[in-house]
Amino acid sequence: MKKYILYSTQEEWNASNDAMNTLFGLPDSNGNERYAEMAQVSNPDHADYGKYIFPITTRGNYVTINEFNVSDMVEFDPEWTSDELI
Amino acid sequence: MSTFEVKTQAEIDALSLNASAKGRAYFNDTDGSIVAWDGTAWRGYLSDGVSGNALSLEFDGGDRLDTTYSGLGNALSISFWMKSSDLTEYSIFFDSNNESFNLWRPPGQDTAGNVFWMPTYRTGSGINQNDPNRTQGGTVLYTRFSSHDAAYTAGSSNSFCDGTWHHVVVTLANEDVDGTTTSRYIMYKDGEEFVNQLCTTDNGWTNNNPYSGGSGLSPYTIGGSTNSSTLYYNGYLDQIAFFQTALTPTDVTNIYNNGNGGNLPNLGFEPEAYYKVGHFSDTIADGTPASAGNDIGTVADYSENVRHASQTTVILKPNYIEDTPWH
Repeated sequence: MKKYILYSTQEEWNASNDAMNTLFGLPDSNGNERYAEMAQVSNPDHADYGKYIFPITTRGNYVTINEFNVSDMVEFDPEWTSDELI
Repeated sequence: MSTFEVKTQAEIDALSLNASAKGRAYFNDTDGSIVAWDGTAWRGYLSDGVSGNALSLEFDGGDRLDTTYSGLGNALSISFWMKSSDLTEYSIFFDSNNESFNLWRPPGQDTAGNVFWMPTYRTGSGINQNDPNRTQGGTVLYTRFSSHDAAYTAGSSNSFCDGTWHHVVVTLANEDVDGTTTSRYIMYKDGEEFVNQLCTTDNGWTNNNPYSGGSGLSPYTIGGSTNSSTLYYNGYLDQIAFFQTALTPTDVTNIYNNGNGGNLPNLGFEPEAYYKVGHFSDTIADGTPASAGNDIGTVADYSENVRHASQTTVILKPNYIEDTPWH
């Protein structure tokens, strides 16, 4: 399962994403374009509303958990979103 | 009489071939297939005409597979195998950005611990997730999934997330009811009809509009949605097929009994897109052939339409895992 860091600013999120793009040489010639897509806590009732969600991988070909401080990481919170599909 | 050189899977895996070795072929003594090197990857064929593989896709609750198939026509079916032990709220199985057919698990559950399998389609003609009647008196207003509530999961015929493989088919087709065109939604679990209902307000849908696919719709995503960055499926998927027709009960039984390790075109089906998952043309993120434990590169479409699926954002890539409904 993934871990997550919640950033207060878009600039912080972009800095981490750029660092991971550099780490993995993205974009590459195999069609891999970027490390992550930006997402925000969209539930206005959530304490972290508006923060930028940065995902951390713990397994697979792009493991990044060792690139960040574990103390900054949180588990996925289904309450982050207030999205509805209909 | 010419023969293929015999090698085990391990011996084949150990070969380091380049483009100049294109056309080299072996008999794979491990699984009975014939494999041929196309210059960049292995392509393989089983001697009995049936093809299969040992891999499925693992979605970790934050992965999404992007297809290039959009819903077409006024009928559809989706056939797939799933294995999950924890369907979190908002788990999205299939989505076409609200413009075609979505299949997802909305929030909430009733007092029996049931959660819901929510079909919606084109321009919001779906079941109203806020409709209080959806939990009314045990009536199956909507298709129900069992939650990870152990008390309900145990022995429940409705249990989908019990950690074992299940075959699921959903169909949607229009029909004339008293002079009005409306849609009928049917869901099958492990070859048996599970839900069969008209998509009308009387059955909890938001309106009576019939399903209408068409060109220009957003391509289907699997395991998540481009419409949301946090609503993801957590579990395995395999043998995912999209059809432009409503499969019949006989079709569903045929696929359930023969389609797991088989080949739908060999059974007479013509899917619009057919992701066998982990098959010969599938690759991992570095472009090499699919193998367990690695993130996807391209998940090949084995229909005649060649609508391959992929994920260009590496954090969203599902990975291949050695676990299938028939192994």
